[in-house]
Amino acid sequence: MKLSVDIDVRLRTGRGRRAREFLLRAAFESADERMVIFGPSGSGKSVTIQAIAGLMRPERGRIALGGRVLFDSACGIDLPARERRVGYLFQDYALFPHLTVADNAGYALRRWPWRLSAEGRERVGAMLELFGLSMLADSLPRDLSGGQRQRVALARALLHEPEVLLLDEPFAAMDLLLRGRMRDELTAIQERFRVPMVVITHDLEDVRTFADTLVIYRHGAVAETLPCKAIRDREGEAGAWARIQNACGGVFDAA
Amino acid sequence: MLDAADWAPLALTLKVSLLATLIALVGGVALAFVFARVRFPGRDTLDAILTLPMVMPPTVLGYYLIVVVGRKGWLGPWLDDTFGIQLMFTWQGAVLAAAIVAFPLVFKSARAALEDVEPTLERAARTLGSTEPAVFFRVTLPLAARGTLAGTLLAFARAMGEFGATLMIAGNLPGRTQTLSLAVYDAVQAGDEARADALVLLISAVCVTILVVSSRLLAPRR
Repeated sequence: MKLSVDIDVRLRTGRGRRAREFLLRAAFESADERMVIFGPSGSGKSVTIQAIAGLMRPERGRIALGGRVLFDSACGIDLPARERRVGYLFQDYALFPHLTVADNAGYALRRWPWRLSAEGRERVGAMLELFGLSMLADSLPRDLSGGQRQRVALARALLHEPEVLLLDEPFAAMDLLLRGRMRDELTAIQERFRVPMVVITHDLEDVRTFADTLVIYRHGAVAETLPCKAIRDREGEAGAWARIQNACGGVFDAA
Repeated sequence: MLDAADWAPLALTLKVSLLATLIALVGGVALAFVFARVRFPGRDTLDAILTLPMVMPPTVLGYYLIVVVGRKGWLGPWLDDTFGIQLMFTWQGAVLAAAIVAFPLVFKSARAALEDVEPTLERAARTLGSTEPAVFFRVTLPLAARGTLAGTLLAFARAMGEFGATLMIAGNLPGRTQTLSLAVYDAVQAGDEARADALVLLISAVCVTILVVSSRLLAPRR
């Protein structure tokens, strides 16, 4: 599944007298299954995946996923978010607080009049089982731990059968121990479902774990696109890691 | 204590205030949603106008209604000719008066409740394939339900107690447009203290119940 993005987005940061505006120019493409967008906070990473998901409209540009054009300002194409089949993992998970774990997970399977078919119930059950959430099926999100919330959010996104999974700083809110465990879980889930994913992060450890393709943002533009998987295959893990550190190193000094 | 003649105003009051509350609920939630989500010029002014029935003397409101829907009002003749609806001195007129005074209570509370709903949750629903109506009915409205319901109960209480505007547009016709609050006024004017006592106790009991339930609904959970 090839994802190609070429967009201009007008960004506003700050408020009042400290407000400033800059134009984000993001252009990259990759056919790799796992892509990481790396950059300091405020560099436009979130905005980029919001644009892919259809949650915000770029000034101009084109976004294509596989053979489908999701957005093309020149042709007037702008698919609404609900038709993009894009899974989005929000930073705070955005679980529906009034729905149980099972109802959150099965949200996308319910269509008017919002009954869950027997087959749908089975799929929700199997997904909860896979994520080790079966015991919590009737709990509300507020009673879950951070890791459990992320699993519910993942299960909910995957049951919609997305063509790409976008993850907004998925481990930023976790302590180090949990972070490591959830990285392993996400890797296993991705390999099982073979769903392409885009992770945005400012954590080098995420880059090491998830980047087949690495896109580095700096000064509101793509500074570099690094084909990590190809480098890894050619130069080995250590060589790729050195290249990643080298490429990412300048970002924070410059920002 | 209460004879058959007293139950007629109660039945009429319930019919009028239930219908009025329903109208206020649908209209109030719909407008609250627009106000909570859409920025448009004149929003604050329109908000003030929609809230006006809450602070204006009911007689002033009644007068406005006569000007608009009265027999010689702006819309009155048209409503009569086109739909056969007559609002002056009918119970339908009482519904209109009660709906308008009850409306701001639903509108205000629904707007506050809708503005409290985390926009991220609606965006999440969209990425999960929900159409805009589905987002509203499955996510936004359920999350705003408690505040909206509390406002609706207050609106119902307000509709039950409506007097001034109702008197001016629907009059005080026993058995036809005489609601409880008008019946109390009549009983006192006629010196029938026993009847007034009974009616007053009845209204008070209903209102206390509504207030208790609505404060329960508004109390923080857990």
